[in-house]
Amino acid sequence: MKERSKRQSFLGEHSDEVLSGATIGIIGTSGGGTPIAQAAAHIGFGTTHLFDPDFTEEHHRHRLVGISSVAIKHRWKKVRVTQRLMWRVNPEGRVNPHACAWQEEHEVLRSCDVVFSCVDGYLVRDELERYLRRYHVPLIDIGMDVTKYETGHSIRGQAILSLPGSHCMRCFGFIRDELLQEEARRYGDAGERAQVIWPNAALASTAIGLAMSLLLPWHSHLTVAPYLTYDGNKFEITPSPRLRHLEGIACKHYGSSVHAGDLRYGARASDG
Amino acid sequence: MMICLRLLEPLLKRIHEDLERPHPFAAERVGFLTCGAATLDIPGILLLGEAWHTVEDKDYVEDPRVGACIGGRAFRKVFQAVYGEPATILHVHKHDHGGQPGFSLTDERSMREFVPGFFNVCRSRPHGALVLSRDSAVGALWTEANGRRYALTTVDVIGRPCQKWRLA
Repeated sequence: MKERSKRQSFLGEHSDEVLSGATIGIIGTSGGGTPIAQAAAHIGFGTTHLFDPDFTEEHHRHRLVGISSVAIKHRWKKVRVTQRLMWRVNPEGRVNPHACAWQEEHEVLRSCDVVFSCVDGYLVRDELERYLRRYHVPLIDIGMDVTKYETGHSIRGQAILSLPGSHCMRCFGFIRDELLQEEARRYGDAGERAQVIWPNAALASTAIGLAMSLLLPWHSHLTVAPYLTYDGNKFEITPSPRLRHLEGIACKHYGSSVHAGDLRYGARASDG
Repeated sequence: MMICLRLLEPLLKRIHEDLERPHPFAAERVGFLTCGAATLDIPGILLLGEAWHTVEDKDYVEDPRVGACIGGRAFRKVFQAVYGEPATILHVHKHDHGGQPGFSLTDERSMREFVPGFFNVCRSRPHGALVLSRDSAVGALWTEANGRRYALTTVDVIGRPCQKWRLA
């Protein structure tokens, strides 16, 4: 057990080995992705793939963990800021920045033990979940939103574990065709969504906890709900009521009939 | 070369349950796992467990020299399943102990006999054999009928919790 890990030794005798051998992916390294990256570095994950095509700007200062005036002045890519953030904590960790959309270098996600989705919008979430299900990679999605009412604002969010073989984001009702259609209709006209750091930090910590419950469960009877909702006006994170309706029901969207792997792996005309 | 097999926990559980059933005369059971295949960002192959194909009791052949012997009909059934939908075929049986198993001399001999036949049905996919223990595995894979043999390097079991078996 490494000196740095003594206080997390309850995670198991071989926890250092498991963590240093683990690979994670973080899609979106802004308000949600950077606190996940920071926590991942503290925990000691061996390899991290960071995906984000954007560069830092002044309006990221209020939520992007690790941002600096130098980064803003020189318009550093967000993945560079996040890489430096992680290296400051854990120089032994391998951090691979991909300053592009995940679709451009998607193959690295196949080697991941867990992928964190910290993106805006349902279309990209749907596409990412479909992709990861093909390669049996667990996905943990977080996000927050602010809604304006007559009496003020409501902050809400979610942390979802989409585990291959179990329920997906469609089962949870989080992704629905009408939402995808509405988003597609508004394409290019979505506007900027309100974001603040404290809900993102709470959801990021929850996401990291979900990942640890998968890789290094600290209790033999962990019953972590896979769909957690965040009420930012009550500061509560609770299992979604929708889970009650899924008891005893298998995922209908990614069943055994969905073929895994590359569609045309090594395809030859001679194959039946 | 990295050869990784990734299985969902419910599928692995089903395989164990099936292989543990006693047979009227065979000392052990065998079956076939069909898999999707994918490339990785490093040289290697990712195999993704898709379906388990049970060998029916009547498709075993009495042979006191080996733990289990199956007839041509058992092979034809799995070939039928992958015909038209290319898939990797792994011949699977179990050594009932903990820790990493090994191939017996009989395993070595028999898989060299039957694995080349898998390529007659699906040439584009790798094929091979897998031996499970209670908590680990050993596997051999070929990318061509009479080509080089590759050892399975890791098995990822996706469930709650996830497990990663690093194979020697």
